[in-house]
Amino acid sequence: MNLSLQDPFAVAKEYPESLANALQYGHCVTFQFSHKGDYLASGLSDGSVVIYDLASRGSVIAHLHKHAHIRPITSVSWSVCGRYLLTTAQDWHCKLWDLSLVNSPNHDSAVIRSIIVDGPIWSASINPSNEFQFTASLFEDQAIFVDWSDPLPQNYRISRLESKPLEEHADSDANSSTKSVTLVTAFTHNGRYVFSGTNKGWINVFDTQSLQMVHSMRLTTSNIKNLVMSPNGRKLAVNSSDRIIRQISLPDLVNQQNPDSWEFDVEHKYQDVVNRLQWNSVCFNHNGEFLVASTFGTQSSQDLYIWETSMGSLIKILEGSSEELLEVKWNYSRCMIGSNGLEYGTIYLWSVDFPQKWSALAPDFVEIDDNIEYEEKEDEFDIIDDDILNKRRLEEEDSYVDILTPENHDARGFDTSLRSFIIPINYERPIV
Amino acid sequence: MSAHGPITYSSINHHPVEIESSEELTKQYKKFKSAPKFDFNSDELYCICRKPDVEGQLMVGCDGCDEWFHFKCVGINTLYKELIATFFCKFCQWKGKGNTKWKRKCRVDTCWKSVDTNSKYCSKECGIEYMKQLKENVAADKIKLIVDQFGLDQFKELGLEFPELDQVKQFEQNLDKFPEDLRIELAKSEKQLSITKKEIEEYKKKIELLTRYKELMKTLNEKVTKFSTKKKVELCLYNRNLRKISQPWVEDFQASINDIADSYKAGETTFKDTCIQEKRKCPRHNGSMNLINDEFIVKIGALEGDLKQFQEQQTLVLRDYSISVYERS
Repeated sequence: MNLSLQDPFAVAKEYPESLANALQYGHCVTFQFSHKGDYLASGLSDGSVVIYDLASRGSVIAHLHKHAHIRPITSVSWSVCGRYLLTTAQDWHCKLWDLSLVNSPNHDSAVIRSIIVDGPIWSASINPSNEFQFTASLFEDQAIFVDWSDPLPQNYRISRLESKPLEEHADSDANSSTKSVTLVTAFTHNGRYVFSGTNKGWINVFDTQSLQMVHSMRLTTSNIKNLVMSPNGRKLAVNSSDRIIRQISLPDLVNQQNPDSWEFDVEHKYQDVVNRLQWNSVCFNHNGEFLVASTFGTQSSQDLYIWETSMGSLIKILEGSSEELLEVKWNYSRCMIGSNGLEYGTIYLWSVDFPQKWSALAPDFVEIDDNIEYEEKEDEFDIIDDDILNKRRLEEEDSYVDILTPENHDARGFDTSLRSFIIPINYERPIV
Repeated sequence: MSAHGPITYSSINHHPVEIESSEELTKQYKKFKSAPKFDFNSDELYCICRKPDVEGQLMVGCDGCDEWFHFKCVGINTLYKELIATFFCKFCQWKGKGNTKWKRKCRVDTCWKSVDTNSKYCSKECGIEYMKQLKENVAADKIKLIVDQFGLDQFKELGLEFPELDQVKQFEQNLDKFPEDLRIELAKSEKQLSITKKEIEEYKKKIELLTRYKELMKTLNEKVTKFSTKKKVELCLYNRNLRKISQPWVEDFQASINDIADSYKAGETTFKDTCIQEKRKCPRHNGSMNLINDEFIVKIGALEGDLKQFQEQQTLVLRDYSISVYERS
């Protein structure tokens, strides 16, 4: 809001430094910030979803429990517009919620689409360019791509993203005794391609229009646990169970149309050589300059590690949680990192600490440490003729001060002209 | 007889405020606004009299401007202190921020507490007290007349419950006696109720069928174990149609038990839509039976909640109608 009044050095900070808040309503198992950064959706272990309002420092504004899941939630995903929320759970259901229907007295449930698959779901994400398309990775199965633009269930188009080995590596897969299954999927920032990671360390790229595999490569031999794309689409982070996070520089997927010409270079490998830590989850900041990861294991570490991605050096360890941290997410516009705890299901939020700086409010304010004897200026208390004073005042009134036009960018350079959906609140009824 | 709805607030101004002209109020308000907020001892000043807080002087906070006022200064008897629902000082009332509202007072003359929810008395004791007073005031022979006429038991029951109209008691048969709009509303809620009840029954039936299916699974597993070299074979037997389980479907399954056993022997993994892998080789469908069972139970719970809501709505509609009939007569 009034970021420009704050200390410019605090505003310019690119990553959070201190634990600011802990949200605890129910046992959170997974969560996600909305794209605009105003809301946080938290999937609970009882299958319901809680939405926090971050503008008011994390008050609960909705609890989606009617027609909710009946097993722990495995993933939540926001549409870019902020109106729809996709949830998946261990109860084999994918549900799409229309948040314009929450808190309204007329509608009892906000679920507008729902499908059942043949097994638990690892995770799902909404297509950034179409809120009625999503891709989901299923337990012990291939990933699916679903288009449910049509509200009639019989018209939902569910396609399997078959990761049939392309010829170049057909023999290597034939050798392996167990089948290859997809563990994670992720959209590119423009929704044109889906990246999927398998239990054998393959990264497969699918075209969302033809739904065919267009590229495939092998990064490692172990499970791929996370695939994270930086929001500007330049970098990809791959977290695998061989305890290494690989940072890959992505080719220009928009202009380079031929998938065969794509080259994926591993820029950096992040690993803890001493403790050989496993990484639970990773996330980029808005421009891909920083990478944050949470660590596996309760006794070893309960911290988040932040690396700077151009040189690959560790720059910060975020501390303060009292439990092992699972998922880690970056709230771009609020410069905030969130992570949920394994044991108590608390969501911890780290953010930038703004020191109060009152002198920024008016240019003639000066902050002083000690009292100083004030020496008046030469002309400070001179008697000025009323006429001259009036004239001066009138002159000042002529200058035009614009207080109506909102600024297009906030102090961190994020576009504030983008309108995002605002969840309605019913003041007549208690939320929880 | 008059109806006593859930209204417990009245917006009548009880305290005797002499009607002041707008100009006079403007003047007073200006003075009030510009009056000092603190005295020379740095004690905060309150009310229109601008005096510091003295122990024992009861004050009331304005809901419009957060300023505090002495009961005496705003002309409210301190007896009414528990009856104020919202208080607005005269400046805020003048500004249109709101009006002082009052809670309904307990029926006992000497009690100055507000009524309990859905009651005319502040407490049970006061109710008894009121009735005692009533008994003294009403002539004993009148009571005797009623007792003789109807008997003591019936006299005791008087007023225990709402005197429902006969046509309301059996509204199903008397639908044509109600006014048009009420009839439509009742028909609608009846329909909702019957649909919900039917759905609940359906799901209960489904749970029974699922239990039956599990028994059949056991039979099948025993059959399969017999011609296997292993000690015990358990099949997954998840079918996506289990959520729509029905009597014919279960019978159909029972009939095809032998076929399924043969298919398993032949090394197939699915029979029609049923997964016939061994349970330990099929982690994907692990816990499917419990999951579907839970789905049904949760569904029934939600439907029963709806049912209760519909029923409450219906009684409310009928009660409103009864009250309107009484009020007319």
